[in-house]
Amino acid sequence: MRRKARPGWLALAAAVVFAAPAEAQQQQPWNNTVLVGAAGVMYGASANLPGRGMTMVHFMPTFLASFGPDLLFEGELHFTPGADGVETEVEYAQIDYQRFDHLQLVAGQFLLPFGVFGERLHMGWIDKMPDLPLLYADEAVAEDELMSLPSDLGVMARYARSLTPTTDLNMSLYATQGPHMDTPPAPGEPADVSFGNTFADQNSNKLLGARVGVVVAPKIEVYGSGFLSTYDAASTLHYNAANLAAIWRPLGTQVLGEWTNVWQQFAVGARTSTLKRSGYFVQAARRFGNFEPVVRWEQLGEGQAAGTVFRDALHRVGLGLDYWVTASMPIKAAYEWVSGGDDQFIVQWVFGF
Amino acid sequence: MRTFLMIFALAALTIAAPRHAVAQTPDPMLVAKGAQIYGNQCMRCHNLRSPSEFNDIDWRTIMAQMRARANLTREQTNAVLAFVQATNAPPATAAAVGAAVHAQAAAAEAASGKRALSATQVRQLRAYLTRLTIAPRR
Repeated sequence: MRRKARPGWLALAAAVVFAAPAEAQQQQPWNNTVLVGAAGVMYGASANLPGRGMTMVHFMPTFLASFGPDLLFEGELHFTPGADGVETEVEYAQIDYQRFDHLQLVAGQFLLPFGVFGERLHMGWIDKMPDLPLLYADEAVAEDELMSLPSDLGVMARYARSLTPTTDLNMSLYATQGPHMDTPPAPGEPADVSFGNTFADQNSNKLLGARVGVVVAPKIEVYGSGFLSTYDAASTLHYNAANLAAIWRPLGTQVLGEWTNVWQQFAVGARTSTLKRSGYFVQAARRFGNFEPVVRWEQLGEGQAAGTVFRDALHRVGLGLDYWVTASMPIKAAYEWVSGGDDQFIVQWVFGF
Repeated sequence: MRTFLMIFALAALTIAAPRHAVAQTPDPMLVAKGAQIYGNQCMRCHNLRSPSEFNDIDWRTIMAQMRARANLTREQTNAVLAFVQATNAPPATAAAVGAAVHAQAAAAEAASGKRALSATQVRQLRAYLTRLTIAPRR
């Protein structure tokens, strides 16, 4: 009686097992975390500063966490050491749902799509000047600030579509908690109003905003944006704003400009009055090898209501020179002539990672 | 018979031995489109950073954020991602992609008599192919 060839069959069985096709492509994990952001040190010299100069450091990490192909969490923090400790701000912390080809849904605290500078160009390694434009500077720079970088808690829908191979259309619609009063104002005067860094909704009213943009890459892009809101607990005082922004790139030069107008209602006895104020900046920059001279012309207009000036005008001209050590590491130096005599010289070294 | 089966099994094992993972060759025209968008769209905000700064997995996460910031469509985002990942691919794969783009463009041009790639696309491709030879790989 012949024995069966068991070792051969076992070998054949093993061959069948091992003949299962190998992975044609190594699977890349869809859950991933990346740390990017910027850090920098800045020295400013001005006759009005204690000791005629001050040094500041910034650390701005951005956490990106992707969960599958359609879900992204992104959050940016600002750490600024100061005399009273480390000042911490949440610039944004949001979840982006990107399941659709042309539509994204966002929830959380996000930089409002108002203008373009705040949302896209404020990072230290991207902004070509060492400091923010007056339109978005806080009260440490412009005592009568127009509007700090608007970041608020809410939901947003973003739509983008290519109209032609070189022309894109984008739209954003959002609803957020809205701005709040920093401190109650003196009777008959408008309050200082600001955004963000509070999770307490001031009132039942929501800020509603939108932005529409047309991009003819890379030459020109134009945006119109605005929002409507109330800022008092009774939802009776309106705070509305409109913005026009454009970026133009003629002959290798980048020209960036924004204009903002704000209407703020405030109580005068039993009546209300409306503070109207506008501001703008125009910035031009051009690369020459690793060097990039920059000029910024900007103005905050007077804030007037019924012929009374409540906010002083401010005018500033900055002349800067950037040296790009790498594509994301500039050394920036700028001298700024400021109306009222608060001229200043700033040097900043930023590392984008 | 036993000897035959043993030889057969050994041959089967050899043929079926696990292969090294082969990177999927990206669509050449998607890479070319990604190079164009990389040059035109990304520079709207910032200097163009080298694709070799991040690995392929991190680029996927970063491009998700860039889609939001730059208001890109999914198609545009995928094209840029294909470009940066192809640039980070092993040199042989990246060179093959570049050659395929040129070949397809030349064939289209010969068939239609019209220039298949714009001057911008040619410039981006040239920069892309140059980066293949001089940029370090992760």
